[in-house]
Amino acid sequence: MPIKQGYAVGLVALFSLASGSVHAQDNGPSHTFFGTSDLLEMPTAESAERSDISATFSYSGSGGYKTSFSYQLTDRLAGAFRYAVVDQYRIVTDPDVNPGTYETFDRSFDLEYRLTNESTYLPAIAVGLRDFLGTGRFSSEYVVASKSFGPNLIVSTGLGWGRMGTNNGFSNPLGVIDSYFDDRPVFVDREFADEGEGNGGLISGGQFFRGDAAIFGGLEYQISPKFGFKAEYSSNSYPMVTFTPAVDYKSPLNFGLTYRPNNSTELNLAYLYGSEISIGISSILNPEKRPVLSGLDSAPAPLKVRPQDARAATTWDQSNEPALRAALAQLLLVEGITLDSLEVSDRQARVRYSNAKFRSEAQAIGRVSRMMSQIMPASIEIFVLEPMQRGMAVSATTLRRSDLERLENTVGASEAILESASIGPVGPDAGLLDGTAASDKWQWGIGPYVALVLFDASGPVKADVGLQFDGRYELNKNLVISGSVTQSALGERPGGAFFDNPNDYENVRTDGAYFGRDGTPNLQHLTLSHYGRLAPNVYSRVSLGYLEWMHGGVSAEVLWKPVGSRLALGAEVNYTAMRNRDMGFKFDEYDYQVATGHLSAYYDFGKGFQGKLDVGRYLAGDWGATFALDREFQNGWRVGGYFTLTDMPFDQFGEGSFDKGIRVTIPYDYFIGSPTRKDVSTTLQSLSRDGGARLMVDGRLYETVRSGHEADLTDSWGRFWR
Amino acid sequence: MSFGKISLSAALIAATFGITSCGSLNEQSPAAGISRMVKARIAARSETPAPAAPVLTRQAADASPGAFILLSRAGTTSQASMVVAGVNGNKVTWMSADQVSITLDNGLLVATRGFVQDLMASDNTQVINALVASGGTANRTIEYLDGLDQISPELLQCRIASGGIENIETLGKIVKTERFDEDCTSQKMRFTNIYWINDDGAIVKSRQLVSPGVGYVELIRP
Repeated sequence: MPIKQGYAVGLVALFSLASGSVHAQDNGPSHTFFGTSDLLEMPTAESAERSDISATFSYSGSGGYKTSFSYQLTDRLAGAFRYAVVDQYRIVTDPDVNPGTYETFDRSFDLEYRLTNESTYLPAIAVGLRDFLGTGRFSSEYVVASKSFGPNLIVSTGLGWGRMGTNNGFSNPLGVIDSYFDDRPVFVDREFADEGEGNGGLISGGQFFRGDAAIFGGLEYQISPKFGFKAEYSSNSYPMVTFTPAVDYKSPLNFGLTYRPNNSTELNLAYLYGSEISIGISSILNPEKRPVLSGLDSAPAPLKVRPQDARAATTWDQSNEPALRAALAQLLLVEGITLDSLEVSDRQARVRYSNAKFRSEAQAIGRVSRMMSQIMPASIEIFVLEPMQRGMAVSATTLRRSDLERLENTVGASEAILESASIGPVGPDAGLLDGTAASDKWQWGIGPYVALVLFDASGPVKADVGLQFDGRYELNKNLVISGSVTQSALGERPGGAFFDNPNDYENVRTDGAYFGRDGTPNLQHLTLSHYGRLAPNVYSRVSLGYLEWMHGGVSAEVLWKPVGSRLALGAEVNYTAMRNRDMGFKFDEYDYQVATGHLSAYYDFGKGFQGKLDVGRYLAGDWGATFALDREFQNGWRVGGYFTLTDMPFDQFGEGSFDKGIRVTIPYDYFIGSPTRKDVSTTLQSLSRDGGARLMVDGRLYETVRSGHEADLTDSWGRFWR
Repeated sequence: MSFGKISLSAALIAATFGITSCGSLNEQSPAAGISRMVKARIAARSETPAPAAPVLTRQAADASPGAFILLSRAGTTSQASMVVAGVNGNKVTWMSADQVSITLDNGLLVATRGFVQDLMASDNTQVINALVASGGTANRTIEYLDGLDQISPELLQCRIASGGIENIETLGKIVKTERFDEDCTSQKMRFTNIYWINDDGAIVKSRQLVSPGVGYVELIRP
């Protein structure tokens, strides 16, 4: 998506809107100021509800600001990502003299795994890593046990290493196993390291569970359904160490109050380290709990059942075919579905259509088949439905009309119709006659946009608002021109990046901070794209033009994806030039052309896990691979992460060492209820830099094709009868 | 910063937010999406649309017997009149003008569509048998569509008992009926459906559960 920052705002807004929805009241663990489901600053062995996603914002005078996202990936495994703005110490030369502090921006990742569940006599036990991938300012490891006493009290205690081993630290008990654990190597910060040493952003595995350990503990007591009290003994004493957070520390004891007006909002107020008040607010969403329940779709037309005696018919008067085709086009239009073509014989009707309305292609299949039942002659017993995406038919679902008639409105109908249906490759183009519905060749839209600009010269986060104009013209069903222009309401703004980019590569992404700043209309993209099917299981795409906001040229892709296969393979080649900073039509400001491309493998592991591997050449000319894993929910939510390793040296990449991030996709219909195929996606990268950067071309094949394939159809098959 | 520039920015901002998104592609704008979402959320809270005037008159109902059913959310006064949209064996699907449908089997709710949490299907055979026997027990399964688009079945144990003779009003007409209460429980839920049955054995009025998220609807056969 060209203006990807816009979607980040969408996400934040979605989070706050979702807070209005209330689920059944139950009190799981509340949130720390680090955004995890624990005490105040210290961990517990408790886990959030499976699939919970929370956004937490916290602030204290010396602790600074933290914005954290946490995700309960499985019942036992949780991860978190945060941006922190903290004051940190300068280089400490004399341990008795405060060298002064300055503000810094820090990104960090956490992981926690619950090893055992609580039982009648034994506590739950969890092991965790805090800040294991960032610049290391909070780096800690811990083992913690939690035990509840009655319904309202949970007591936790544990052992921490690293920053959590600084208060009354003692020799590492793991030293008994091996002297390796006795000493913790010093973390080297890239910002201040000598050339070639440490860049942050690497797994600090060499430090894990090494050095002094310390004990922490605490309790959480639920005073009433909405109010809770927390107290803890922290094992982080925030010692004055070079480049570590300068927290005002007087005591290891922290106390806090939690207010949870509903299940999706939490407020925290605490007195930390005997010195200051801290506040926190968390917003919690769970992809499994749709606020609009099963959605606001209007009722479908019920099936029209053939009289028993009419079913025996074996032929019909085919001279009526043109009228039948025209009528079907009209009926499908009622459902927001466009008829592409139809083939009817004595006993079978095969229909191709584009569903631009329902996220669930299975729901569209249910609707189309019911519309077919309204007018198809009684002798037609077999319905074959071939949904299309971007002009390509992607699969064929074959249904028996008598099964539909028998199963409608019966218990178990959803499973039964799936069992009797066959889902396979599309049939030949031959025999299909074009639908007569006039589809809109020309579509447009105009509306406001809101975008977040991250890390430009003026600060870490800025907002941009303006107008966006989108247009789309269909030359034929496979060939489309589409474009998007934005005009910022803020006028001309200075460009420039927040961070230095001292690398020898072209600034293919980091110069983004100079793009679209001169107040003139910005051409986000303008492309001519062609989609087609080269062989039954092979799809193709060619896109030409201003492919994205920073680069333009040509992009071509092929994908092999059988309808029922878990595996798909793709190849993409692009030849692009860097656009001018004014985001107009020219390419003369940068003299940078690059050939990029990837071989990709996609694999559906089942249980909602989808993996992807891309190997190839990236925009800065670096070679490498991207590994991605997403948890996909049947209702369209996706939560995942990726990392990219290329031959660009870590010190050339800069802060973060290599590209990595987490990403979230939320389907619109999760919130609005009414059917739509739109979704909002955002990626939280630790930093968007020049290494491992890919062309952001719209409409890559895998995502285009998969909604009509077996796995996705089956996932949302529950909507067939809706 | 010059004065002119500020006012230009202000005008642009005003224009940005003053403009209602339009065009077939406007869904691509997140802001437009959010505004629609807010509207939809408000709409989701309001009950079935409330017409100011009665949706159906006694005369119209008498003129075409059996052609209408009146639907209302229990506890509200707004009503929607529904007409037959489809027949599949004993199951009749009724549809309202605002595209909500209910499917009845001999007056018992089998399915709904267009509610925020639909009853996808219900197996009512044993309930019908118990009503015919003027009371008894029934096991039945009802199905919902959950937040992950999966069919979620619920096994119910129900007890049907007569509540005695009641004279009820259906669209201005007093009808003598026998009332039956159906108490249903499962591991997760408990509810009571009520059926008023006339001398001909037809359910002329009922209060039936659609789903936990929607609650009861009241159905009147005028």
